[in-house]
Amino acid sequence: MIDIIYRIGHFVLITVFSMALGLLFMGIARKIVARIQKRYGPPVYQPYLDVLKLFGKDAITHGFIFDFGAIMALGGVIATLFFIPLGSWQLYSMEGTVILVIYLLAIASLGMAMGTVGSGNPQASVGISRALMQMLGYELPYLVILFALIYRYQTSSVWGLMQAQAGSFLNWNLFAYPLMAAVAFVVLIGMMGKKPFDSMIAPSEIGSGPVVESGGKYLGMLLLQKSITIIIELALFVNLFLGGAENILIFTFKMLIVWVLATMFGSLFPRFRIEDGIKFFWKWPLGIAILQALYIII
Amino acid sequence: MLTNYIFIPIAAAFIAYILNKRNRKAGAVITALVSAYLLLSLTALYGRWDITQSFNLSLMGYKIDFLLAVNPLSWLFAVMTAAISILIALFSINSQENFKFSSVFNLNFLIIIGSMIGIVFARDFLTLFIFWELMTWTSFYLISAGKKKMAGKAAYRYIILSAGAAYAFLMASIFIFQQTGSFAFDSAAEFLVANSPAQSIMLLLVISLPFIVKAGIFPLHIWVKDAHGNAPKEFSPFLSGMMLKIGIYGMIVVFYQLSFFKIIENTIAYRGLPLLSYLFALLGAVTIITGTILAIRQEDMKKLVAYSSISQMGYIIIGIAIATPLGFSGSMLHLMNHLIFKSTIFLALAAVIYRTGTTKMYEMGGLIFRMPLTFAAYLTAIIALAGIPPTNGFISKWVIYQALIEKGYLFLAIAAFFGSIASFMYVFKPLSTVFLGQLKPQHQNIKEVPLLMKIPMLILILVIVLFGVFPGIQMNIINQISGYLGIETVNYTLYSIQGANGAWNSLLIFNIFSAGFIIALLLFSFAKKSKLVGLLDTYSSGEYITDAESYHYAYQYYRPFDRLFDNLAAKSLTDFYETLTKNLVRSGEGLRRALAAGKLQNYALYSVLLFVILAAVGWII
Amino acid sequence: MNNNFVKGSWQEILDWAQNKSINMLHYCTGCGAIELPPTMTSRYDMSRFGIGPAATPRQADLLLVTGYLSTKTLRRLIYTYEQMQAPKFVVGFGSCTINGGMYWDSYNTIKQLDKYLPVEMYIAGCMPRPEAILDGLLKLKKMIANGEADGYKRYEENLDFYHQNQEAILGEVQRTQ
Repeated sequence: MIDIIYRIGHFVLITVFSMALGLLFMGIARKIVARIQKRYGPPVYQPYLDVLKLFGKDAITHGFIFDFGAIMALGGVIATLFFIPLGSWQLYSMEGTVILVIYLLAIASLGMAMGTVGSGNPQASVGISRALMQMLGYELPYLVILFALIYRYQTSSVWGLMQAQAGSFLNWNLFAYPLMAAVAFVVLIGMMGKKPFDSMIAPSEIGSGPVVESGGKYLGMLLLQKSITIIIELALFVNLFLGGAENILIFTFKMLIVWVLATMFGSLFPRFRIEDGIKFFWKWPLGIAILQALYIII
Repeated sequence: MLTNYIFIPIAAAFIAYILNKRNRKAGAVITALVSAYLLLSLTALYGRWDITQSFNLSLMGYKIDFLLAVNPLSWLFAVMTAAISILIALFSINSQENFKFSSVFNLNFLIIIGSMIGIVFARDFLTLFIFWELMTWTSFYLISAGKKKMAGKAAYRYIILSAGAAYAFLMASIFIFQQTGSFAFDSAAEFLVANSPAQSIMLLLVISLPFIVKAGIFPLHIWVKDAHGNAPKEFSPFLSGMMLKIGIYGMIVVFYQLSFFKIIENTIAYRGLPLLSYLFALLGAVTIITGTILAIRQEDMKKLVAYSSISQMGYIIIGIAIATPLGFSGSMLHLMNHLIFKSTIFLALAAVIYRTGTTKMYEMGGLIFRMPLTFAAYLTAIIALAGIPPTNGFISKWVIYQALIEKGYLFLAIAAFFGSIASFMYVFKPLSTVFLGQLKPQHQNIKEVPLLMKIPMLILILVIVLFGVFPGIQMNIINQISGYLGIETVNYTLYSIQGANGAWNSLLIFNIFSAGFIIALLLFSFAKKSKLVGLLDTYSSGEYITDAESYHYAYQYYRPFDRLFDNLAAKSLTDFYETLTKNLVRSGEGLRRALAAGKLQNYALYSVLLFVILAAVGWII
Repeated sequence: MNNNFVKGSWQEILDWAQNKSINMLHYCTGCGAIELPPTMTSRYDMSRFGIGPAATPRQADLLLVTGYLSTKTLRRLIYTYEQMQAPKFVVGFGSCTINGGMYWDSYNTIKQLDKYLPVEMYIAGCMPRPEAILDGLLKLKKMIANGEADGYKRYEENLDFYHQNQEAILGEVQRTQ
């Protein structure tokens, strides 16, 4: 009994921590982009206020599927969180978690896709169709990288891959396989929907894409989902390439560095059209990933 | 008595035909009863792997044995056939009310069921051939009974490919008969191993031709799209679910029981795998990619799912061809799982077609408000197809990935990943265009399907989740099959499977997913309650929209992606075959004019008559 | 007593959060909208006050009626306002919304926005410079934090008054379905 309560407490703690950290990161990103654009920008705690306000607003719904989609999105992403080691916090360590994480993220996107398309607005459908096409673009190089890493270290759990880089910091995959790390970084920018890969939430083109009919608590839940997704993707990158960390503070620091770099990168470019985006991902990132994978295997 | 299982359905077929002429529903009821009987008696047969039956025939100095036997592999296929037939029969009791050809449908369907069981119980080439041809001809009639105009042409293409490959199979088996004096698999296997490898490999490749055609492996997959798209809507689940799998069954027989792997063991190898096996795996990979890319372009939902079936067959062939225990288990798991979730998808789509009368996705929309159970079935099935936990589709895909990563086959793995990620795209398309979106005015009054059509869908949803959480149930029979075929078994418990670098625990995943879901639900319920508004009250830059038709994004849903492959898809393989045939006919024309000035059929008739007369008189033979 | 106290303080917290984070609907109705880009971009940076753009009315809190409002636009604006969710605020921008401004004798524009939509505050000028806009919006934020910005409640309570005025000038008005 105590064990169950302890576990539930653990769940809630990790969830709240990731949400808080993710929202903070989103605020930091807005500040950085503002400074790059030579203005002040909102304070770093702005996203907390946004979420609080959104949960206090009314909202409309278009039926059961609209609600269900939002819950499935947030639920899926919370479930994914429990399989990624944050620092030395690891709730469940089992094999196969790398591929599992990718697919659980897919539940979340499927949930969001279903919910937002269920609003009946064609702009949501357009946004989702673009998002899915782009997902095909960036997932392929990413899975090749994962394939190579799993083959190299003969373990398919994130914890295992993290442990395999223990020792000095020269063991990190960043230095052992720098090309793969570069490709993974570009894929990270695609995953988070930053420019130049943010065609799916284009505000003027398609009225902000999938979230066109979401207001109030739906938008709040999708913001929370976004914040946890940021943490998951950053944590995955840090665990796979920067060797994880022993305690949560160093881990957060590493995530912060990657996040700042990704934000700066992502604020410079204009937007890719979707087919150009897919072509881009399948040309250089996929090519480099395949070369690196072949090098590892042979 | 193994012949019971084969001849009872065939006899019942004629009874069903006659009864159906009186009452439209009778045929389907008889099909359901016969399938239920088959399923129950087959479960009684479980574990008795030693039952055999044989018939002898002496004809003109030749002694032929017809052998039937049960083994784990055959048992599994027979059970799958019976199970899916019950569900389809239950479904078709209501959905064939207004179907003109329902008697012919049930007649042929029952014969197909009987002949499929005959195929899997057969232990020699001739029995296999007889039942194979029976199945091919009856399915030809069945496909051409579809409502669309193209049904006849689609069936025609199907029969030409199937029959041609089957006759090649017959010739190869007669050659083996001449060398060994018997059609049986065991003696053929011994002969092939002892023979020169080159000749054995040629023979086995010819023997595997009809199986490659049936399984829809590139480059012989051209019949699948049209056959699925134009067949009667209740037959498509069976086509995709079982008939493609019979091809896989044949490939397993060729690979393991006819010792293909043993013969090619000492040929050149690529990373430990003989090159010929790798060739099959590569064909599977190309099938995955082709099927997926073509599926994304389709506007007709049945053709989309047909292409998706081809790409899943590619997964199964890869798993079998790489000849590792994990690969084989993954393929068998995927085989069973694909049957379950593809049938669910097809049944859900058949329900939609039953109510709306059209298969084009852009003519529908918003059907979730009228057919919620159908939507739930479709949603669960696509979650399984895309390979998302906690459904069974994820487990089979995970095992295949483990098999590929374990050996380091990079290009096969890329094809597998591509197929999996792109499958999100093509399964989401019907979901978004048919079930979500704006409800068209002409569909305002449609209702959910009747109870008898809901039951199969409900059962299948439960099975998908059950097998997803407890894969041990499937692994039980799969390990028996592995043992029977001489492959190493894979460790498993009720809810976990041992992979290459660690075990997979599905109960845990299910629990954690539920926990995450509950947290989100709590957060959602504590916020303010939201107001329900209609579909037409949506953001449209301030304009009032009145017609739902123009506000539904469905046509060419993935146009940017299709644009990337427009050039490639324009080079259709079907056109290649058609041009080849035309050129062949034209070149033959010249020869024909030189040799036989009149109708060639008359010449053939005269030759056959002469042969028969001379044989009767005794001058020949 | 306790319940009201809890509700009251929760409302205060929500009001405080609302004032710190306002989403402005990007609906440029008239020529006054040309002063918005400078306000939003680097020089006069509106986002440091927490005011950001929103793409659709479902996500928006603030409707800025910038400049003159022709009757054609009024119809769409009313629909957009009704699609927004409470709490929502309307700010009249420029003299045209106060008394008709430059187009005081036109047959096609409205002369006083307050008759058709509940306005929290007007920002006078033709057109107001970005500094004036920021001044106005900061005052609006104070009003929201104090709970004085209840235009949406006024709309609900005096629905007949507003509907009457709208129909007087537009003829028949389609409501949300």
